[in-house]
Amino acid sequence: MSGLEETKENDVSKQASKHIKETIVESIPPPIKFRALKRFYANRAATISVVFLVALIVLCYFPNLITDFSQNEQTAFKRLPPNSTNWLGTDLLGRDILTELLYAGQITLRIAIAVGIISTFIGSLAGAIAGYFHKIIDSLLMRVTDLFLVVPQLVILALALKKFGDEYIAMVLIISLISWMFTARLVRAQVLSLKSREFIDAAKMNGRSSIYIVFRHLIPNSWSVIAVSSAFTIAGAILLESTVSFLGFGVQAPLTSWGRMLYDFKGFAIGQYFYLFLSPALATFFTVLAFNFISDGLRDAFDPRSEQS
Amino acid sequence: MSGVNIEGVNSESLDSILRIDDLHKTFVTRSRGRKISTYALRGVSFSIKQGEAVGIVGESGCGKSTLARLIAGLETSTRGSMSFNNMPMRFTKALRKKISMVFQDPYASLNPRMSTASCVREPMHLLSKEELKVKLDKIYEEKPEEEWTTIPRGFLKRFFLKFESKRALAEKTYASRLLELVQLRPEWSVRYPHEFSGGQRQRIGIARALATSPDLLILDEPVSALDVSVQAGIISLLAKLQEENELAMLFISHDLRVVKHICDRVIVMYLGQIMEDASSELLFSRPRHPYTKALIASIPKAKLHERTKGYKAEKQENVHVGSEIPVRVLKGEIPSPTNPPQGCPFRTRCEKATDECLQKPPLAKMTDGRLIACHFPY
Amino acid sequence: MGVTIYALRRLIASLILLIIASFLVFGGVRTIFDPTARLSKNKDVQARERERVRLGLDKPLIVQYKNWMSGVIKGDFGREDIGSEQVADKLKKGFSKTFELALWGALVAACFGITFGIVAAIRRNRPIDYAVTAFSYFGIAVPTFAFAYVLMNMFALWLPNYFGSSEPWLFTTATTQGSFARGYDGLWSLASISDYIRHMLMPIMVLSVQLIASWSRYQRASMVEALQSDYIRTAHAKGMSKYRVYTRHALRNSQVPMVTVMALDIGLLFQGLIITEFVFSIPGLGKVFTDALSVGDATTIAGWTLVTATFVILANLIADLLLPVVDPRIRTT
Ligand SMILES: Nc1ncnc2c1ncn2[C@@H]1O[C@H](COP(=O)(O)OP(=O)(O)OP(=O)(O)O)[C@@H](O)[C@H]1O
Ligand code: SF4
Ligand SMILES: [Mg+2]
Repeated sequence: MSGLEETKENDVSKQASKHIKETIVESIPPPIKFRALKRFYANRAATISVVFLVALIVLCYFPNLITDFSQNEQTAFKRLPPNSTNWLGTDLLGRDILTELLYAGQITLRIAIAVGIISTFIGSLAGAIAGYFHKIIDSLLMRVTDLFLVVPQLVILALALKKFGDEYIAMVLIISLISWMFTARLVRAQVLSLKSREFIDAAKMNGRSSIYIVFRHLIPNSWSVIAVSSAFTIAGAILLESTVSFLGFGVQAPLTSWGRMLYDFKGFAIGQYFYLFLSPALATFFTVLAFNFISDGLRDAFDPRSEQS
Repeated sequence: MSGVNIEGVNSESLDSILRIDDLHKTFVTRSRGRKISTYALRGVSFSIKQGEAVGIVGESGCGKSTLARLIAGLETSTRGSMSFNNMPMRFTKALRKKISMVFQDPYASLNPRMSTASCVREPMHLLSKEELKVKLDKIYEEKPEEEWTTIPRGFLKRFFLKFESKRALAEKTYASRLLELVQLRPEWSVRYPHEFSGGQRQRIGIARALATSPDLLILDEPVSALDVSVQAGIISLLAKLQEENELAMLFISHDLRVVKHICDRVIVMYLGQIMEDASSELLFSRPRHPYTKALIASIPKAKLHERTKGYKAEKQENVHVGSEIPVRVLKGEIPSPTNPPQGCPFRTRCEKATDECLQKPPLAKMTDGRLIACHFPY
Repeated sequence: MGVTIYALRRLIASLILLIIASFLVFGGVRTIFDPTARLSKNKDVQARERERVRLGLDKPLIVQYKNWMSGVIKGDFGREDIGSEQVADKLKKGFSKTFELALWGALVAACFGITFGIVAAIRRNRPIDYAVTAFSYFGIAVPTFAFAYVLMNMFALWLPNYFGSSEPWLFTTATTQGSFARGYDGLWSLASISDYIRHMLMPIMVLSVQLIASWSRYQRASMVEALQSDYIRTAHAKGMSKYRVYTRHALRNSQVPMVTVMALDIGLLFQGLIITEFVFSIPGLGKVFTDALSVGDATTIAGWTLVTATFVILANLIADLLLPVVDPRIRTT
């Protein structure tokens, strides 16, 4: 014990107070701004996807930037293959495919993005609440999710559209209703891992309400997960819309979407008029691909540990 | 039984701020249908006086954190009672103001998405308007000319600054002052936690804990996650704050040297029970309980001599030594808290153990005033 | 012992889920479709009322559900609303046509998905990994029906034309008569097998492309995780051969999450069947659904949905029961 007694406490405090000055003068790391953004930008596929989508949205809403025609305008008297005036050719009524594609894109994108917003909202709220209040609400959410998984999404969507008509608003609501669970599960997992962090304990100790904790602590710390899943949900929504419309249960004339165009051109899908079918198909493919790339790019940007897939 | 023991020298009369009586906590976990009980606390009784710094030491898993979380109201006890200022504890807003806690991990205890000011302001909603005003008046009295508000970064935040309520501005000013109290720059209040080092973050945590001017501060291993070079600074800051504000502290640590430096009284815990409860001086100069002796003997002596030679040497020494030093000197493994031994919990590792130790020794008062739970305390 | 209780609990949970799901399906279909809607045109209110009574639509939903369910348990799904066929017969017929395709699709998807995933994980960040990743991005983003038409054009038109073949390489319809169609003699003659393949290859590709993509992704991820874990490093360090490490440890452990993922995706398989059979005009289960939906045949749809739901729940139950086999941790406790 001699060692202990010899140690003079004054010594310790003297050193300590000297050290306090060091601590404060010690340079703190320069604020690293936009870390995630930089990582995202370094991901080429994701960056290109963003550019592509921005261009697509601009073109869909201002088609006159690249086409001289208006919607449903008869530009030729017969079906034309792609040429210099009609870049993607014309359909059998002589309408310019590119123009139709862009106008149809408006509806497709509107549905997709609306679904993205609504289902992200429902999903992150439900996920955060389920994760935070773990027991009862959580198992309830899990059971509901199980139920929705039992019947394929396409079947639920087709059935519901039969009832609620072909308004795209109905479509948005129904697709949202069947696709929020993905977000909810991810956010729930995130919240479960956040919940045991000490800052949540600190907030509880400080008498903060559960609502405050959910909105101020849990959801802001789940942004990365929410962003990732919303991009993914949008991609899924586009595919679902196009499939159900292609089967003839989705968007109905006079409204058009890419899925609806595919339905219209179904008869030309094999043979020399394949180009008619190909344009909306490729548009769908690339848009879905872009959202998938963005989703993965966001995931990698927010979580540098998850290796590039 | 424990009611009697509490009448010890260290925790005499009614001026105790926190009194804990026969506290039990059993965690029941389920693992695929099977119930497993972990006896984290098994009858803990002690009390803390106004302005007293009490240390709690013990090996990992002995229930120190559980005790802290029970007192903080983050967990509910299985049995036993707690009273604060002689009132049974009920975690109302009024009580939450009086007790606050500094957490172990400075990286997990601050929300990474909240600015420093917001972190420090978090408990301030507990303060009434008048209380906040009193604090502000004091600040302006002390430093009338100081500029306390820092313009936030970010366009939107600057824009919304115009619409901020008086209350919010007052809280921000107070937050800046608190940062200054823990020796950080007030203008750093707009920064985010990731822009600080571990020690600086822990200071923010301390500032947050002090925001409501608590009477009791619980510190759960506040320095064990920090670089050794930073520990001393935090420790002496805490010592200073404790002295200035007459804070009662419950200081949990692995590190006996830290406890010795900062605490008036030390409680040694083992497997959810108190082994020895004595004033710092007594405990370190003349440890009685076999477990306490073993713990103290396991402090590497060389390092203590080294300390006088200067700070750098100490740092290098410490690089290899984790905070779990005691485990090495003590023989054998610590028994699992799911199945603690009958009688004296330390029986399985004690050199002096006899058949008598199969009976649980009571926490008895010695002539020198300490409390000790051992049949052979000499 | 523990496993038996675990299995029993899963079984009961599945049954409860099935009952709730079937009620929701029935209730949903009944509220969506009015089988007497077509009678509303001829303004004969009484005829419509009679029809409602005949179909039992005047009773409360729960009674209707009870009647329907008691029939379903005996294998009687009721008669279709439009037409006179028994729904059970329609489903049976559809199923017999679908069965082969579904089985092939699942099998191909599982084989290729898992193999791709494993290969990509072992050769991480090598060309083959990039190829698998690119393929999985393709499979996830492509609308399956569009992929089907591209294949059809390619293998039935462009490639044969380009190489001057008089016959399409692959046929745009599947074998509708079950296996080995077209009156070739000898079941196992080369000609009949090649004919079978030429009919079935494209539908199988279309059905499995999405599943291969998503399963290879999951497999790769879980295999990478298994390969990076401590015990694999230990195994390497102990000098165990690479092959043994991969098969003994990494593969086995990466299979645990895969079982669950694959069972969950059985629903996707049915979704794929609907699309594939629509595109290739196969009169199977998927076609039964699309046809029934376009005429609004409630009884058929209710029966169809119940059957698919049962399959999905069954697949998940099997996966749950398989878990202790794959994951020793569940077995021991
Ligand atoms: N939420 C919980 N659920 C189940 N068991 C728990 C829980 N919290 C703590 N325990 C168990 O209670 C016992 C005491 O834990 P506690 O955290 O209080 O120990 P400690 O003394 O703080 O240890 P350390 O020094 O490692 O922090 C441990 O065995 C621990 O496993
Ligand atoms: S009671 Fe016995 S076993 Fe326990 S510490 Fe004392 S001597 Fe050791
Ligand atoms: Mg602890």
